[in-house]
Amino acid sequence: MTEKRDGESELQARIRRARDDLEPKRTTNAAEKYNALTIAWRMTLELVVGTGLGAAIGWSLDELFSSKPLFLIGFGILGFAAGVRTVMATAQEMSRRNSSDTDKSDADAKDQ
Amino acid sequence: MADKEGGIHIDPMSQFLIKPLFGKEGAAVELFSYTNSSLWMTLIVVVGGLLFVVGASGRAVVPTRLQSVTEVLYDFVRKMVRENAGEDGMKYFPIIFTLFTFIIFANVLGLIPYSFTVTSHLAVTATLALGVFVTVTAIGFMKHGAHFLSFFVPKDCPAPLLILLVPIEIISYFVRPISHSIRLGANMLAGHAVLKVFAGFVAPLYIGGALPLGMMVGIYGLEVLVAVLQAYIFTVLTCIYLNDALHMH
Repeated sequence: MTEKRDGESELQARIRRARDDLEPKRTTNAAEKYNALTIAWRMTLELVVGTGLGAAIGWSLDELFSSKPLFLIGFGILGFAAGVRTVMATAQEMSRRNSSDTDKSDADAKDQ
Repeated sequence: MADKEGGIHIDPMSQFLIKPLFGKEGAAVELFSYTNSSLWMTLIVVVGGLLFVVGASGRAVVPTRLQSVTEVLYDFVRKMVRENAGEDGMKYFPIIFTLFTFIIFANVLGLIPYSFTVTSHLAVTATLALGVFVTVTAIGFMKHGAHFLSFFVPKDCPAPLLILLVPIEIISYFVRPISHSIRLGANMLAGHAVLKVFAGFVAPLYIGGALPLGMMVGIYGLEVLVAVLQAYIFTVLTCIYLNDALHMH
């Protein structure tokens, strides 16, 4: 039968187990999978936009000073670095959110 | 979609054309012409406004269905702002809630057949993202003054590296509004274009058209998810940017 906690009658233990069964289980459903896809797209986009923005800045500076392709190369690399920087920030934010999620579920578990 | 000669005729992008609704057929879009885009923006504001005015006017302790919808939306965004931007971010809750309502209604109303998806245009999403970008930057400067510039200076960094790192930080700050707007616009654009492509296959394939039609049902379901999720992502990122401006690092 069910494992009894201290000071719990047989009936109370059965009620608790029935309640636990009713709790929604944490599973990886379609929405969560889609969420992972969204994060992947977000990072890709940030990387591409970073490089593109850097290249655009470099190209305009080259137009201004007619020094092609000096600034284009320099700012292209800087832009790529900025893209990586943004992706890293996103990853950090995701891991922070994940850890706070598990903290919360731990706290929930303690409450019960 | 199939024209008179039969065969496959797919024109997925024509649904995104902006046309003036008044005046002569094929008139050019001018500064003040009322286009299909303007019409749907008006509808978004009217429908969104009606939902909240009518839904909240009951003020019943046991909410009706309509009241529940408004309460769930309100609570959802309130929690989002509090979690991502902190307690002092709650001051900006009204504007964030407005933004969320506008985008979610734009995305969802755009899923109605023959409607026009306002947010599929980069001009619209870029305006929203730029609005967020300018506001958030202004808040940062108002709250921290010139000290906000240290946002671009990484902590504990040797001085020679700063020449390299500060431009990187500044560029990555400007990446935000671009990726912010492209994400929403491209998601809406891509989904609607894919639906139209599949729709173009249905009629010419006769009985075989059931296959693309079935796919369309699936994709449409996914599009509903995308519509709501993109509104959520846009708003949550707004909160995160606001948090950066309020609290820095």
